[in-house]
Amino acid sequence: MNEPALCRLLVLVALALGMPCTAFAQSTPPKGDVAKGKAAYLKTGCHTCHGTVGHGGAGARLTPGRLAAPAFLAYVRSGRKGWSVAGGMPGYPASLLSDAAVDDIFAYLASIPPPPPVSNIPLLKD
Amino acid sequence: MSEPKLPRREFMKSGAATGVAALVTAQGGAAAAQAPAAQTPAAAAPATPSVQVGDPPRRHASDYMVDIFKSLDMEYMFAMCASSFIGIHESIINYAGNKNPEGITCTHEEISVAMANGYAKIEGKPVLVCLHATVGTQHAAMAVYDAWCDRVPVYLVLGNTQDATQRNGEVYWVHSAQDPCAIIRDMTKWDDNPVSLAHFAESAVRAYKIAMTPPYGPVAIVVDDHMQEGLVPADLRIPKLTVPTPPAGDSSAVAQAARMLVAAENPVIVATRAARTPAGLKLMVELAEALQAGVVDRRRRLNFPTRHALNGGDAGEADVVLALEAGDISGIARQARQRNAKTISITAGDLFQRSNYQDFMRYAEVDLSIAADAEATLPALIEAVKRETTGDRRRVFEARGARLATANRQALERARTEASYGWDASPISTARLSMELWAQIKNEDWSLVTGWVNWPLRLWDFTRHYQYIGRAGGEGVGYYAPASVGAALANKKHGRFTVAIQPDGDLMVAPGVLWTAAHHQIPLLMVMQNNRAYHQEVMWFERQALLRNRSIEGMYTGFGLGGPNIDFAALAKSLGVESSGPISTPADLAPAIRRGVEVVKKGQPYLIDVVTQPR
Repeated sequence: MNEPALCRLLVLVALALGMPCTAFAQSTPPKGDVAKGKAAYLKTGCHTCHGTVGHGGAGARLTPGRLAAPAFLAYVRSGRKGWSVAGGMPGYPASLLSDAAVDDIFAYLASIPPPPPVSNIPLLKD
Repeated sequence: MSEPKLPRREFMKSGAATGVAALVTAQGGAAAAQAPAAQTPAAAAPATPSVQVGDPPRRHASDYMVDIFKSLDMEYMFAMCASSFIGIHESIINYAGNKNPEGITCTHEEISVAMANGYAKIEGKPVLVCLHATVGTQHAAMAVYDAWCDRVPVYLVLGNTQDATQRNGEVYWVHSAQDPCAIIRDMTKWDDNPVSLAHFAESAVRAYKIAMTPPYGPVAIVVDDHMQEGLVPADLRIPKLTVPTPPAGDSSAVAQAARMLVAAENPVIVATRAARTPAGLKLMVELAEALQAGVVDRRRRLNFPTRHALNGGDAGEADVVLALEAGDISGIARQARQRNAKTISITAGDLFQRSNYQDFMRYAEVDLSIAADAEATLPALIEAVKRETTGDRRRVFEARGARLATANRQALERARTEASYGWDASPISTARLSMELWAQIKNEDWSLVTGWVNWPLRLWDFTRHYQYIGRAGGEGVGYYAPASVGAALANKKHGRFTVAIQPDGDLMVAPGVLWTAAHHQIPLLMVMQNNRAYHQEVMWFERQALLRNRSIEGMYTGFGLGGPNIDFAALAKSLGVESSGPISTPADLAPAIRRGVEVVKKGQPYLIDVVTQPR
């Protein structure tokens, strides 16, 4: 299996299992631009499935920090097979979303603070 | 038979000036019909030229029809008014005193039928819905389809002018049909076009009986407008209604099912519309506990309490799957075969089906198919399971139940963690909306009457049958708002607190139902899930464009509901419903809900416009 294919496979397994993708952990800060990333995230419709803050919806949860940048790029490019909007996502080609824009989106998602712990949310105790 | 009958033209010409004695008064209702005619003020009486002063009291044909509806315990008539059933409508008001049935004013026939759907899912019985046979039935068709797919008893009366010589002008002609039920025949269990009052009586009672025999479903009776205007022969009686006992499963097949379930190491129960009534929910619990088997509730009704320890399980890992009124089980059965597991199906769907619409789903290759109503079969199945269960099996069951209880607790904790993501987001997450709502209604006798947002089913504590009524059976857009109002009306007399999480696109189909809620003082807390789009289709467009490597920038063209944003609070106010919003900041939700709860508890509807995340 070549490297991109392996990368995609690991990403899909991680997302399917709801795991943080620590295998792709990135030690350096995201190189993209947060403001541009937010604009691109909304313009390219990522929010329609993943929520405006990447918290998930019809699509997988993207925050906080589930994927490192290379895995995130692989996910965007390869998509996920599935016949319905809830079960799959066609890949975004570079002609519609450049690598730089994906980096910006990654930076935006990385900038979103984690939610408060469940134990600190009284409404989720009952 | 010879019935007194006056052609419409003569009736119209006679008018109030005829001044004959009336058999009923405007407020007197049925009781007044027995009063001597001479004691009734002529000026207040409706004109009926075929009755003379001093004649013995006789009912109008439509009075008799209303008496039939009374005998069927019809609590309401939902209708957008129309001349073709004006006789019935007038009789309800002046003969029956607008009680049992009470007229409920609807602003669209789709609203009338969807309200009847919501009412029936709470109350377990139909109301009367009157439709103009042509244009009204055309309007109503999608809502009839929802009821058909959802196995809901809906009772339709279609006013028509059958006799071509009595159609007085163009409008009569375009509003008449040779076979008015043709348009809905593929989505009703039965219909008839009676040619006499006696025929109408039998068909009206038969229709009720058919609608209320599982599988439940919509029925329709055509009533000729002139038939409503005649007088009732003295000897005409109302046929007796006896609703059949629902069909229960064959005893040997039930015993076989019990043996398979007791012998299984990991049986799983899959239920979609198994709990037809509150008793069905209790039976579901009894069966699951007898087997200590997990229940996968597909929730077209509330089939199982959400926080019960046995709520859960995985049909994909079962060695025996028991599918109860489960709808599409073709995939479950196919996967079961591949791992040498068995599938048992109990459904009344095997007893009645039509061909055109494909709601019968893909053919499922099951191992034991019991053509019967699941709820009616459960008592025998539970007893058979108990008989088959030995001490050894009981110990196995207990260990299984303990594992499922652990999994159930973990699922709740997982749901709470997932709900926390996006907790403080603006627009507001649907999880946050759900939990803000739960915090303020959980101590009421509540009933959630919409099924679009999934969070309540994961996080709230559902224990009673009326607390959830599922989704639109045919998934038609425009069901939720009117079905919620109909369900709220049914809940009203029980003193329940009704709440709906209302999709924006759905409300825009028939917003007039808000006026109905205000006009009839139907208490309902409607909380908008306003994502400002036909969002499902937005996602489909994105998918389609991406598969073709084309731009998705047009994703809101033809799919969005912004520009201008719809002010649902103002819309509600204009229709007489107190409201608040739009609210897009989580901290503003609680005060609005508090106000809404106050208003609803005083017996009025209230709408909160919440701008939410897409999902």
